[in-house]
Amino acid sequence: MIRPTSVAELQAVLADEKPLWVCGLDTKRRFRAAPPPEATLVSMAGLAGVIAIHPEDQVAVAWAGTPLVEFQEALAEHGLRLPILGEWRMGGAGWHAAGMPGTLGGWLAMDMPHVWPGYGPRRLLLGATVLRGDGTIAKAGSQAVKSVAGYDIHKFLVGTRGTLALFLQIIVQALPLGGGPPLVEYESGVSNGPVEAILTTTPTGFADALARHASITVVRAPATQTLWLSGSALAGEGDRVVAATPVRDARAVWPGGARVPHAERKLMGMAKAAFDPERRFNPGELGL
Amino acid sequence: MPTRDALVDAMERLVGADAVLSQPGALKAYDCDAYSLDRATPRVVVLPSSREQVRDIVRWCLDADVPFTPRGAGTGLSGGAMDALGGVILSSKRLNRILDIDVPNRRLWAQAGAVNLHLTQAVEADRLHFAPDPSSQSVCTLGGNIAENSGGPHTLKYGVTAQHILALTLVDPDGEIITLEAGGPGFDFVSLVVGSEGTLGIVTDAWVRLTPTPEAVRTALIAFPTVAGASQAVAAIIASGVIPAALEMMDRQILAALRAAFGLDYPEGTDALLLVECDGCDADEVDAEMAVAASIANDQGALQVQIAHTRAERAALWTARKKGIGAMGWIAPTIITHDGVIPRSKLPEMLEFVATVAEEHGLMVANLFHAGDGNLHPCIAFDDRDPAQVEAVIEAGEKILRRCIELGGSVSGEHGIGVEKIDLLQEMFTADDLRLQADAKRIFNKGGLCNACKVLPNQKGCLEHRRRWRGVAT
Repeated sequence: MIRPTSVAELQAVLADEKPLWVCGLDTKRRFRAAPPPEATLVSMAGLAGVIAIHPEDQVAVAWAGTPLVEFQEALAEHGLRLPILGEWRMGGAGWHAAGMPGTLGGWLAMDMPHVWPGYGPRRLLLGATVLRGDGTIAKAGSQAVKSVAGYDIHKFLVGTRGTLALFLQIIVQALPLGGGPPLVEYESGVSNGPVEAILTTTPTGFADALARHASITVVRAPATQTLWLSGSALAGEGDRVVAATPVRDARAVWPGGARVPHAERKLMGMAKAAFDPERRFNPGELGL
Repeated sequence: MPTRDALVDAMERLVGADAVLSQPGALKAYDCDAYSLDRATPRVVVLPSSREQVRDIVRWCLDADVPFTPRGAGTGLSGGAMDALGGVILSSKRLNRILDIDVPNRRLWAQAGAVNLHLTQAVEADRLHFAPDPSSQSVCTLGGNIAENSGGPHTLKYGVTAQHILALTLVDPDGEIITLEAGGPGFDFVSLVVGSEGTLGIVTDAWVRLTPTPEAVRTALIAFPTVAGASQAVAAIIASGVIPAALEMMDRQILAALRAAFGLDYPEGTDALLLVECDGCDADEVDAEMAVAASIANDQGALQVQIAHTRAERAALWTARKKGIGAMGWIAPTIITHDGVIPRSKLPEMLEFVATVAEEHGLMVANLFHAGDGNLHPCIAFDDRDPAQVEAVIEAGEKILRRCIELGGSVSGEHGIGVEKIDLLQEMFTADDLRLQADAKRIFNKGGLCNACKVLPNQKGCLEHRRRWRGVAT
């Protein structure tokens, strides 16, 4: 696997004809498609480091390859944190919270589950610089916590799994340590609770474990490992644990189960054609 | 392009004569939104009452090569609802129904023309509300909120419109009805459509998230002897970990206007007012948060801290914020409210810059803004019958927004780009950045008919119309 340590080096790899299969620290391989044999495997983890933390504005700028754990430590030195939940892992009798493996870019590209209502990655991500398939670099957003200047491309790229462009640098809003509603501590297993949730990017085993739980209805989208949970669901503190969209009966909201609707599937193809027409980035991911 | 008569006939066949406006007097009312420096009269205004009618109108326009522009209540502040090329305006006036209320799942389904405040009123009894609360919320529409990604004072805590849209249906620029869901499998196209200013299609209806109405609300109005003191209090409150529901500032000129218009009075020597609102489920916690804010304010030299506990007391304190712009109307024939964002630590520096620019151009400027977000609203008073003053206002506004870019901020926090800020967008972003945006637009909109000439610069056939919009050419 190639691990460029400068943007120029990454651009040089891209200049080669082969498509790139891109990861950060490769901690989410099991959620992804298999790389095509002809692809060059590239890790973004060499483009790492915190660029600036502005505690007075609660804004931080970092390379996308920065490990999440390092980023949180750097923020903590300024009394700040990124309010996100760690990843789920299967192990022993059930699943458990496994801290925060991976990088900032991976967190955004894969759109990991989060627990703060209203504080998903699309709210926290204020701006980004990205590498495009033709080798150019473009930015979207700004360091302001609120902006409606043009289309929110940086937010749209969240969850697109590096199929359209690659995050190079990101600008995020951080929150004070100890401020706001408490982050819920997940100890282990599934317990009854009043919460419904949608989780994305969960391991297959997690879905099976949940499905065996009598009080939970699970609807899943195998392509994206998205789960819709109804009935009682995750452990937590009541309404504070709603992950993305509270849904009592997921199937009523998304008729036809969890398949990507035809119109959206078509738009995904059009997005790929508009952003990465040469299919340089992660071909085959999400079926694109 | 068909003749106007042919256009009117066609629209009447599609939606009925009572849903088509074509008299010059009626059309005049649609020549601009709340940004009035640029104007263009549409050839016809249509009031569809279903998704299918919207689709049929769009398809007819595509066949006949006629530009079309969606419009809500016309309260937008950057010209997004102006019919730039002289075609059809699709008004959402008759798409104003609430279609379903789902209290257990805290969501509501409404048509695009439903009024923002009506959504909240429909679920008030269930202690729920629709969180985005732009100043125009008593008239502005859900579709407009989606187009502009509207904010408001309480978005500091609850987030802007994008955080509150669960799914939406739009008629895309090819005339197809499509439904998009946020947080579903696949790409999140909702995050692209919200804030796209009606350039990616015409939203006909949406499921919105309902937010529990906080049980306990405390509001404080704090008087400061200096703007710098108030700005420092803002930074310190945010840094303390308290996330107020709203954190709003008003400067000396707004106070003068409030005094002139409504006889409101504030302590001697007040140069800035800060409105702080904290809310939550637990009254003790909210009181504790407010105590932190009040103590910070006192440390920063506050002259007076008034805390309201009842709804009536709160309303009285909010008067200063809500009537501020209206009060400006009492002291000048025309006002224009600008919209820029900066990192909030730059507030004192920026306010000084705004004052200097106003002085250079001989203009009266007042500031009333979302301090917690760093979202400025310099409000410039002038007489729009005097071309020299209009010129000065435009120049001053551009200087202020350029400074926002230099300070790492944005040329718009909540009003959008529309036609007003297209040039400034080119200063905020490079050609490569704008190409990225153009590629995103191309996913939905490959032609030049759906809300043409908005947001992105250099659209085909737009440049030559700009002098016409400004009223300096025909």
